[in-house]
Amino acid sequence: MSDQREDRAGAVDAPLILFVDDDANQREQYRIRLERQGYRVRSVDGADAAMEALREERPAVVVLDIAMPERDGLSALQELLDADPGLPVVIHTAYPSYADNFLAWAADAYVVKSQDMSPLLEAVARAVQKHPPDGG
Amino acid sequence: MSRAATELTGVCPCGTLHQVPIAWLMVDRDLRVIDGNALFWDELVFAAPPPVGTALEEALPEGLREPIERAAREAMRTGEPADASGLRVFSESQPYRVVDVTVTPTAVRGDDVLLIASSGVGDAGRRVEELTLLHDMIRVLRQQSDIDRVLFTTLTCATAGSGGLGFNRAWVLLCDAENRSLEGAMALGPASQEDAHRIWAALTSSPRTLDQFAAAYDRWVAEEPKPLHETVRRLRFSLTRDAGALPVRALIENRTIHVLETPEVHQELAELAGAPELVIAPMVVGDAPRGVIMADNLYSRAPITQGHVRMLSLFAQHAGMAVEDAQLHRRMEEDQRRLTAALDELQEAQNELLRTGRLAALGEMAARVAHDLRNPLVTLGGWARVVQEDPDDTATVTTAAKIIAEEAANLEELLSMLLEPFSARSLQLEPVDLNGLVEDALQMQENRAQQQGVRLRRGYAEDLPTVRADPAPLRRCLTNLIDNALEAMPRGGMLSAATRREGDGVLVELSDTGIGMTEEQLPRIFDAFYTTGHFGSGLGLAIVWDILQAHGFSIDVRSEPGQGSAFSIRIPLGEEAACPSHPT
Repeated sequence: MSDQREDRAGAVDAPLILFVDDDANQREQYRIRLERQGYRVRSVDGADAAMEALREERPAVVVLDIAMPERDGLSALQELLDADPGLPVVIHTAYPSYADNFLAWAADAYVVKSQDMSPLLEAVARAVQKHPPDGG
Repeated sequence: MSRAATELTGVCPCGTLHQVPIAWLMVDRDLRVIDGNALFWDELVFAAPPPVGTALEEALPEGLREPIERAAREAMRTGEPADASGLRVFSESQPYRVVDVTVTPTAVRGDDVLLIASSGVGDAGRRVEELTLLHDMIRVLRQQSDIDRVLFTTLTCATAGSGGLGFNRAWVLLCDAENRSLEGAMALGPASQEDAHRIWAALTSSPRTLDQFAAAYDRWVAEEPKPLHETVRRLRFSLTRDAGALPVRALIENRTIHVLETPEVHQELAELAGAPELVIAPMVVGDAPRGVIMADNLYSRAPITQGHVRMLSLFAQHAGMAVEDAQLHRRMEEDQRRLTAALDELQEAQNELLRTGRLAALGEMAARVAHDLRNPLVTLGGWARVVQEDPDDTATVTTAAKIIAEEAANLEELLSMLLEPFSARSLQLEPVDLNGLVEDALQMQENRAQQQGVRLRRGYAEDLPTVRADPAPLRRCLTNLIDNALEAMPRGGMLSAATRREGDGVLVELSDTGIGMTEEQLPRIFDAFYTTGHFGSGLGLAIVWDILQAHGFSIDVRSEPGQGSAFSIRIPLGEEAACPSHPT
């Protein structure tokens, strides 16, 4: 089983998800579960690390938590989109109220965190389809 | 009470006496001048009044000095009036006059005084008697403060045969300022001719003093029926519409009316009619109308003399002042009652406010909790699914189990925080070595600090006395504060921990060079579930607050955005904490 997982995780052509969340337990959990769905996952703990990761490899989609210590997730969203205007971003948060913030409208989707991962998976799949990875 | 009431209105009980057409002087038992009317100084002494307290011998001219002093000493010794008759009064401008002087022992506000009074030869005796009578009535009246007792005493003075004015019946009508009306308040007198005869017979066999009459108020209240009183209580005149009615006229014109066979009396006071004559004396204080006293001789049908009219008129002014005092007194009591009631209401409102305030806080907290529950739930549920999806991945299952246990513990803490504030638990106080405790807490987080690139700086005071505290929760406080400091420095910095003595207490200071907090954030950081919007459950500092409160310790925080925060806990030293702590 673990081989299979590694296979999936290691598939070079699998779409890369950049998962940004300050909660280590959640980062790990989502890494495992998203990889099991066939994605490659790079998880980072904040906006600065996300910018760094973005420079290294453009992800197919960014899953961005907005309630993080270092910088407000919404300003991080701004920064990510400034650096890469076409970057698909899914906001992933415990707080439904952020959806009212116009800054959040710049994101492709707004998903309220749940132990049921299907809304996140749907949003990620839609974002990936809408912005297919460049041929590179 | 009558004394206080007198001071309230600032009226000397002798005030009205100044107007009587009798020359009089009042001295105390040391024969020092207390008061006197203009007539006395103008007609007998021919000099301006000397200051209060002047010795009698200095105040009087030669011809009067010796005989009046002698009469005064005699009156003092016997307690009875003493006369000095046929005194010659000389002046430069007038031929000499002969006057009679009577010295009467009496009392003002409970102090024994002597009243030295004189009138022209002839009616001197009668006038002095009147004056003495009036003075005695005022004395009795002034002992009352309750409005009903004042009225009863007033009417007693008007009707008592011995020591009073001796009217058959008397009643009082009082002004109601609010209704602009004059309303029957109280009446005293026999209900019928038979009643009158019975009362007079009883009084003849055992005469009573004015004081005894006035003391009968409670008996009078209990007495039933009181037909005259009931009739008078039904009287009501409008001060505006009934301006022609006699009682209203007496009041408005501020003059005593002596009614002789006037048909209009029968019209207005039909139920009270029957007497050949009637006196209506206004009670006016300053410009303020208080009411009227009315009196007649229904049963004896005795004529009402000018002396009676004059006396009732003078007495009514005093009764007015006493009524005013009593009303003032009652108003003050009512004000006090109202204030007390208002205070009670205010306290009730405050309690209500606190209740609703707590509810609002609870609502806010519930909203906060709802949000804060989502994260641990997502973690718990998510990891459960990780296991569910691939139960054979033992490494992951182990990790998941560990994380699930951790999150469950966090949730439990959140719950206990909600259900059981720390202060409700009992503390196990013991002498605690503070330096050791701070060091413990610091070491627990040393690894994390290293990972984050946070340097630790220690500055412990030597010879720090032990403090009385429960070590476990206090360590928890320190851990939470250190936790907070580390969270504020995700990219490294400096965490300083220091202890020192200050005044009669000990300070623990924890400061960081982290992101700091804004002025808006600072006042709320100790609220449960308040977070700076970025991290933590919002419980850490609330727990700190709770624990320190339970100990009776205080905490102070300074912070500046981008500069860092400094928390200092102040621990007062108990008596037994004076000894230095053991080295760790």
